[in-house]
Amino acid sequence: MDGVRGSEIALRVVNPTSKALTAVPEAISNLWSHRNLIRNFASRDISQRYRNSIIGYFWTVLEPLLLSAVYYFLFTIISGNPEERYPLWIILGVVTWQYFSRGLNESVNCLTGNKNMIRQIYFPREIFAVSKVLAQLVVTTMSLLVAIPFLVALDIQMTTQVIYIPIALMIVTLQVLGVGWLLAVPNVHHGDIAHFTRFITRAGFFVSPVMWTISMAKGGRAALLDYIFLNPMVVPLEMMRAGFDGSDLLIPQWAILWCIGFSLGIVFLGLTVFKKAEAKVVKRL
Amino acid sequence: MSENSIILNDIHLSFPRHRIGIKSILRWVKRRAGKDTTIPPFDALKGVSLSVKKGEILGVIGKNGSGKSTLLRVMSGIYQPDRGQALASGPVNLLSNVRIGFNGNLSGRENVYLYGSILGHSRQTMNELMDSIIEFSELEAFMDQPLRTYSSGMQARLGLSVASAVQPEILLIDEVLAVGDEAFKERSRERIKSMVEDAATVVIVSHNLNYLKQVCDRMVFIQEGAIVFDGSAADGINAYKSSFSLGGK
Repeated sequence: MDGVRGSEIALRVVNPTSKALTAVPEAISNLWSHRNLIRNFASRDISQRYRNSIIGYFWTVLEPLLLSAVYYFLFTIISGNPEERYPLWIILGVVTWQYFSRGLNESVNCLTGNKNMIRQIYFPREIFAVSKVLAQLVVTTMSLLVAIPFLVALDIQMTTQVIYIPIALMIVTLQVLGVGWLLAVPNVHHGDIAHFTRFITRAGFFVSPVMWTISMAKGGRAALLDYIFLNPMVVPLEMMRAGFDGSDLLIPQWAILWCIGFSLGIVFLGLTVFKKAEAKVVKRL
Repeated sequence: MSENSIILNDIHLSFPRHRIGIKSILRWVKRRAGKDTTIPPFDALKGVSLSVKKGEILGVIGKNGSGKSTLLRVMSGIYQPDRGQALASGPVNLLSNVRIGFNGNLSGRENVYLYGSILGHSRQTMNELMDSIIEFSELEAFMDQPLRTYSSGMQARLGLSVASAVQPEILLIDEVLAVGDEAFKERSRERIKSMVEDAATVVIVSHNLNYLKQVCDRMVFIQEGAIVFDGSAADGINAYKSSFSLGGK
């Protein structure tokens, strides 16, 4: 019963709850019709981030560069001579992981962080997470420019594998949004969720191939390597590297399928849960 | 005119006092044992039914915490009712806080674009409206300064200028009549009055009884989440006032 015929004009329900099956298409059409708002939110996020700094947007490149330098230094202390391409790998790892980590923490807080706006005006609330993640995606893309001098210095020719780069970014985007939407609603009830995701993004840094690569792990216990592939961030991290330097993707096919399936599944699940529960949970903000 | 713009069908809305967690299991166990420790939820709206006709200006009065703002939030879709149905014939614009989404680090102009898009206007619409918004706010000299350099009155002026720039079809107003200095207050009163006159349907929540008496065709008096009076503006105000004197005795 979506619309009731009034005396003459059709009336529609204000802010109805989505049905489980139609939640995802409804959300997608909402996002499309509010694309102007999403763009404005995202550009606000980006432009205010570096507003007060002298070197401004250069920070998007400098920050991963400095971080990678520290990790590189640390790594050479621990294991001696790293490979020639290791500096490039670590930078790509750091940039990709930063996208995941910031995107996830922001999308988990998409309801709690916007409570003032949510209590004052109604528009579809899935917009908040999307605009935050979009802003991160733009910053990440700018950060990736830092790889160019390394490609030149290491004399690496980019191959057709460059297509892996957007695919990797897409996979991370889906995961970040899906998990974010799924956890945003319980996060309104229990702030513990946000603390927990912060822990996950910190601990995940070490168990994901950010400072190391799958090729470096091949020397370890082969039996454990299979479990590594269950981590859905392994594929995008490795894809990013293979996309830039054209090296082989050392990942079994099942792991790639698992990762893509997980990403699509989590977006579907997260969005459905979010659309079902969001309208009710607003009362707790 | 007999068409309805807004229909509320038996709206119930309550705010739970407990959250779902480990303690809710404990409470359930205690309830089974006969020692109920659950604090009952706060019923903000208890079965409100209301229809607002097209072209009508409806005033809503009531004491603090009686559910007036909650009612407007249900009409605009911010809160979804626990029971009952809220229907509207078109987009509903709620004018409550006029500083939604304002960001101190962005310039006045950027904030106008941002607020405009929050209100659902396209960039093109905002480009067209920009001049009239700046003119009405009288903040031309400050438009490219960051908003944090504005006084709070200036921010409110800018906000109201944006919020009132587009004539909505269904307008809900929640006590925003007094912002800025005396001169701007007068002009904003004029602006809201003309919005009220031009809008197809208006619902106003206010404590300014004189103002309501002037503009409203109909008055609803809410007490503890239920409508206790529905009728003409003058009778509504009398009912409201007599509820105070009764409470005093």
